[in-house]
Amino acid sequence: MINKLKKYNLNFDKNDIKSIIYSFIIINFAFLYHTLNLIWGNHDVTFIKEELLLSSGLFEGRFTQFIPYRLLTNGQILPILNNLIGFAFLTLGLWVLARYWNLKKNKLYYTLFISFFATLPYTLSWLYFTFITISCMLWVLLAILGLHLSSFIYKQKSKTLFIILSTLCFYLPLGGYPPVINTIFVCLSAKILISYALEKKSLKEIFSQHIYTILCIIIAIICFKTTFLFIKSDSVYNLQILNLKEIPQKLLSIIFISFNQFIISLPYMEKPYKITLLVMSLTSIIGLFALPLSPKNKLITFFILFITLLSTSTTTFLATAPTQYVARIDFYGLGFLYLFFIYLTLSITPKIFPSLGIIFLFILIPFNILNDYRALTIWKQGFDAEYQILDRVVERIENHENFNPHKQYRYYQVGDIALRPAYYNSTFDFNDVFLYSHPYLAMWQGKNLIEFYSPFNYVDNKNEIYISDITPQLYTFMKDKARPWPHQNSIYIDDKIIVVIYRQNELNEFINQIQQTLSSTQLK
Amino acid sequence: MTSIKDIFNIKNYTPKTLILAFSLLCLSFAPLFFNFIWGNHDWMPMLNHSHLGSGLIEGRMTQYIFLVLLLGGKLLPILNFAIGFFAYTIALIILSKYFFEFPPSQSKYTLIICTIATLPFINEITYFHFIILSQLIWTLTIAISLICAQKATTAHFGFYTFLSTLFLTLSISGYPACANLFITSTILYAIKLNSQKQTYTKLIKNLTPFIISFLISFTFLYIAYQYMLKNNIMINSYNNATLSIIEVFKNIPYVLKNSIISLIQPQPFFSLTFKLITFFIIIYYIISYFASYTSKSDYFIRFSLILALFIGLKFSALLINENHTNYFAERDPISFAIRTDFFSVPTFLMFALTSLASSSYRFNKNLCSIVCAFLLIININSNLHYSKIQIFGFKSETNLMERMINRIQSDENYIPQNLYTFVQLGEITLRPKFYTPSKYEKFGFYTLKTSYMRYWIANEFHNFYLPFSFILQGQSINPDNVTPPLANFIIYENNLWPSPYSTYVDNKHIIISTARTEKNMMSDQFKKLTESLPK
Repeated sequence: MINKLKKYNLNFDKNDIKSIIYSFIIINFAFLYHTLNLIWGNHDVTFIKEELLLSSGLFEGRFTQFIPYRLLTNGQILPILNNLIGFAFLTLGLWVLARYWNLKKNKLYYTLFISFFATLPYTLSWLYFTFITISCMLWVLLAILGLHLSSFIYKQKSKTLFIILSTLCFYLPLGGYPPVINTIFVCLSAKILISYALEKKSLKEIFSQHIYTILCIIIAIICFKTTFLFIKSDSVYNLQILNLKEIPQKLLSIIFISFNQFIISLPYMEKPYKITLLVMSLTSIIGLFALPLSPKNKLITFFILFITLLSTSTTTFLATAPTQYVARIDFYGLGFLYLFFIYLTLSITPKIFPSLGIIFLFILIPFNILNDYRALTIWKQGFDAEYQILDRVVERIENHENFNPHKQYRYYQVGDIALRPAYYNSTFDFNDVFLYSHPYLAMWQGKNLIEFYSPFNYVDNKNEIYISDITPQLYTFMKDKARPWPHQNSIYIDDKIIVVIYRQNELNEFINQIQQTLSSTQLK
Repeated sequence: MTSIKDIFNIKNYTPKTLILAFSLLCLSFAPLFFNFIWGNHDWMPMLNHSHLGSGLIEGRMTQYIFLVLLLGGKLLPILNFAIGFFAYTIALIILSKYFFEFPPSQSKYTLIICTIATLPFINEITYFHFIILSQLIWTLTIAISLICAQKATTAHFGFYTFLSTLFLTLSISGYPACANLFITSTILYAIKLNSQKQTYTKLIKNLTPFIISFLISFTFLYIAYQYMLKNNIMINSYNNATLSIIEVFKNIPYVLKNSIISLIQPQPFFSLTFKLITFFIIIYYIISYFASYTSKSDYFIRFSLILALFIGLKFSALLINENHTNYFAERDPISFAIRTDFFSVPTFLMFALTSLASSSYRFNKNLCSIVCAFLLIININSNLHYSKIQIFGFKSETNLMERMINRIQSDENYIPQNLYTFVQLGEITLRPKFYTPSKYEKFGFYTLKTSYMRYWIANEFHNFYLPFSFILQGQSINPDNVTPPLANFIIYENNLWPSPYSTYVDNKHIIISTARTEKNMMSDQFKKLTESLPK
């Protein structure tokens, strides 16, 4: 077994084990506050209470998303273990990447390399929703393992087993979260760049080595698309991809986005932080072009680097929904590009660059951790604040004269309150909803939220409010009396309906909807 | 044979095994380390220190010795668990390494200890903070008692038997059901000696110190109970209501049946998969034990020992009179109580697994490793799941409590300076709301179903977070103080929470109705009372 692992450059020695343990500790320290405080996102409300089923992700085409949960935790989202398992997968994935890129074997390099990526605030986006933490971090491990294994296929006598294994390593992550394609392409093109510019391999050699990787990726994508013929998924935003006609226009926009993403600041990743990352990136690029390469080689190197850069926007290119500057997408793309730049600074031969790389890492890792803790503090404050409001709403409902916990009500939440922004006072260019502004008490989750801590089950989860339910009393109340929380008229309860109003905008929309529906049905 | 010096030499504790098992146990309950929550009997002990005599009322004479000695009688977050878990891990190592003297390889041994330490039987022990420390330390004191009894057969018979008796008495005086551990381990020891083909005379000789220690300890306990009952130091309650000797014998078939059924009966946090795996290991071990018998008499002895073992697993259920109170019998019969199983089933499993790991057959060794790996994953998942449900249950019930207090404080008749007689009619338990039961599950009173707000101690939890106490201890309404509005409310108006008519406040009484049965019971009592009054 050890010999086999050695053959595929996956053998552990003492230094590997130490660097994995050290980086695992650093990563866990960075997110410790989240690990110890059970905070969950607005998609988790039902899942954290009940369990995740294999079929839970089918409606949005994520057919493998919950396999890891079913296998590892019996479908439960478990406090502490959720993060620990996720970080363990991420750590291993990054260790495999260090091997894939042939990072110089050095305990300090490995520890910093792994810790740098995993502590980037992009990782936070996989902690907001607890129901995907484990799987989305496992996808990193599988995708990189797929790349690593497939890079050995050309050496094998019998290639079938390796092709199947590598394809599976790409197929499973694609079935769980398709934007992982960014990781696959960024890491692959980075590997090609490393082989060409640093390892001085010829293009022919590179082609013969990586053609199998590309083949496995293509087979995995075909299998992925074919799977949709067998599963029933809804028409949701994350399944919509671009038309062929849109390609030229989209191509131009992703070139712009790929460069712009280096300076666009996000919540907890403000300008000074992004500039530090940019300086590190530029340093490594300078180092790369300072290598003794012929002009032709430099041109080819530039071209591969450009492709690597564009690879960070693969999802943005393919998807209809706007995914640029979204932390969870950047986790799979831009994050790995930053990591590649770190790799370059550590690997380029003039000694000044590795020294600079270490200095950057000693600045950036604490910077990452600082940003993570800022985010987690704000998350916890926002979470507590929103759930306190929920407690008060529940109390108001329980004290309402019309409320009877033994009846079944159709529940409607008008608007929502997002309180994380109330605790954040820096500026950024582009909002990331998962990191910053998604409400814990989301409007569409109102039915599940209102009963979360309640002793009673009074919400009819299956039925929305029907037009026949809108009584003249409800209409008059909404039109003339209703005001957002905490006004005394922010809650309406009759025999069949409970309405809780959080925001004026949505209240206006709700009234408009009623008016339109009433006029169209002539019930006025 | 292990020397006593060996036991007190920390170097012998295979530090890696100890640290790993302890760490995994801490990880399994880490959410409870960092979210300080407590059971329904803990409200007062949380506020006040426990003292040495705190357990006398229910005959648990030594229950608070270690809490007072180690933590000054306080229930402290993290430490309470950590000290208890550490003691339990050491106990398991003493039992496997020094008492049963199993020599599997280091890695297998570590895997077995980690698996046994994290078995979910421990989760019920963590429900009440006031007994975590003592319950877990009893495993250590009993392990020492067993080692002393074992040592008595080779040297200083009287001295070591006395020591064994002392440690056993100390333990069972704190929690009599922990005798399950002593009995189970003694029978397993006898099985081990029998497997080594010891003569029956030698077998009996080797077991004599155990029998003497057991008999003296229980005689002491019996005398102590009689004395305390006579002098009104303790009360007669379900947990000290024992059967007579004849009834104990009559009880054997019932307990034996339950002992076997409980090994496969899924319970909350003990899934069918878990039960089947553990049952398979037990059966596999028993079959391999019988496979090597030499004669008919040996077969008979082995059969008797296995029979005794199954009864020993439920020793506490054998003694207890379940009809003393219907309350617990209706919910979790003693033979299905997880916290008594904690003292017997893990030891049996540890014995079975270490026997397999020490076997000369490669298949048995591999089987042991595979089973342990599976069980370890299931254990950690179950314990963390249990912790999650505890956190959600506690949070939702304390939220409810706050809403009740808000309602009371908003009542026009409420005067903060008054001390009220508070009657909570029934209780609401919310942990089950966060738990999806698996098929065929039964029971789980403490692991899942009991409320954090027991109706008879409303004063403890409703006064807990307030700047002033507004509830008198005790809950009965003095008939002299019953006013027409109060009687009218209880008989005619009273409704369940959250109805506006679920709470009643006058200048002396606060009534809150949370469950139909208790509400109706109270209404019926008042109806009868008013009917019996002269018209």
